[in-house]
Amino acid sequence: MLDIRKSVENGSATVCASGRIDTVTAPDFEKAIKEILPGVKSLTIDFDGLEYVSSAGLRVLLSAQKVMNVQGNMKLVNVCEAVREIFDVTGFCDILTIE
Amino acid sequence: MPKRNGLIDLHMHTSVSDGTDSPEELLQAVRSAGISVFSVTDHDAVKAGTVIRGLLQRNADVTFIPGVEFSCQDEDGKYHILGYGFDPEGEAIRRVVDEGHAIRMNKLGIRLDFIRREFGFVFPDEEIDALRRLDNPGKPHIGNLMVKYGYAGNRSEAIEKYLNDPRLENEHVLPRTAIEGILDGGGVPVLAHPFFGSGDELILGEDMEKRLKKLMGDGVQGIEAFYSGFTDKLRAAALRLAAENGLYVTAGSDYHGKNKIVRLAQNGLAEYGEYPQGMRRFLGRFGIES
Repeated sequence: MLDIRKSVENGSATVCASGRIDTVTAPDFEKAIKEILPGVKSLTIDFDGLEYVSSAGLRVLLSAQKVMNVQGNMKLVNVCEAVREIFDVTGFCDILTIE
Repeated sequence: MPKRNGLIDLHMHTSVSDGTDSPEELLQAVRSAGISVFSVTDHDAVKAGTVIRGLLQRNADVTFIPGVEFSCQDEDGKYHILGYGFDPEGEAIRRVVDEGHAIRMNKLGIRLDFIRREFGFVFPDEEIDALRRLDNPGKPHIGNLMVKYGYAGNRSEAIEKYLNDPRLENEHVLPRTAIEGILDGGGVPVLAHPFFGSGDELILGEDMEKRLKKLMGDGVQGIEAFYSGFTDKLRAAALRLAAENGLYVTAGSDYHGKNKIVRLAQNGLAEYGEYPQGMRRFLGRFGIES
């Protein structure tokens, strides 16, 4: 399961996702990101409590990063070791800003 | 020979499968995006290709390659196999499409029986009829219905809690069947998003090489090295595999319309510079100068 919360204030948005982003839940994650993107200048994705990201989730992150490269900036926070490892082997650590 | 003078996108979906644009709307979007070579690759369906070919007879301002994306599975895993350049009304491709459709319809019936028997979820006849009329009904469509009738809070919950039961996963199109159908129809079989399996796995290193060798043994001739979800690192690895194995290279966004964030032609090809040899050979196969 995936628990998603989102908030926007003065052009800065935060999406918190905990649980798993996999084939079933990736569409929900994508929907949340897609809804929050318009007009946003700063996007923080908080992965506190996120245990796993499948390739369906990676694709969403890359698409979001491409949009935010134009609109402003995007960063990921509270990324656990297992998810960091996925980012490392796939080259996503070179593209995403992970704090 | 038509000369390519715009963007290329060889992987996109219409409302015939799980995209949101009709074939007509997609063609308009392709034109607006500045794409000059494209293919529509609906899941297990080729109907959009027939519609688009008809539309282009009136104004052939873009080059269209008929396509499809077959969902396949065997004892080693799941695969998405793209097919290009076959006759969408030909017997060979129809055979695979019909097999895939029959499996989908059978699964639909089994799933509806299962949730009725196990959980007491029932739907009005008109809703069931509407599901059966869809070209490509699957778990998301049943999930939507369950949400509509209050059996689940959202589609993900419906699929995870009620529809992902392993007892319901017993029938699939084999990759070999799909590949043979594409080849018999005069087309080119290509492994879609190679490192992502059927769209959700992560398959790297030796596992990827083993999988590719097996599919090449079945007749796969190319890999989708340029893909919207690939980083530079993944694309480089895919291009290396293509070069080492003499495979065609393709480029796709996997555009689904409003369902996903990805845009048409977002596949990394335009930013790449000179096309790799496998890409030039692929375009040349369809008479497109690169």
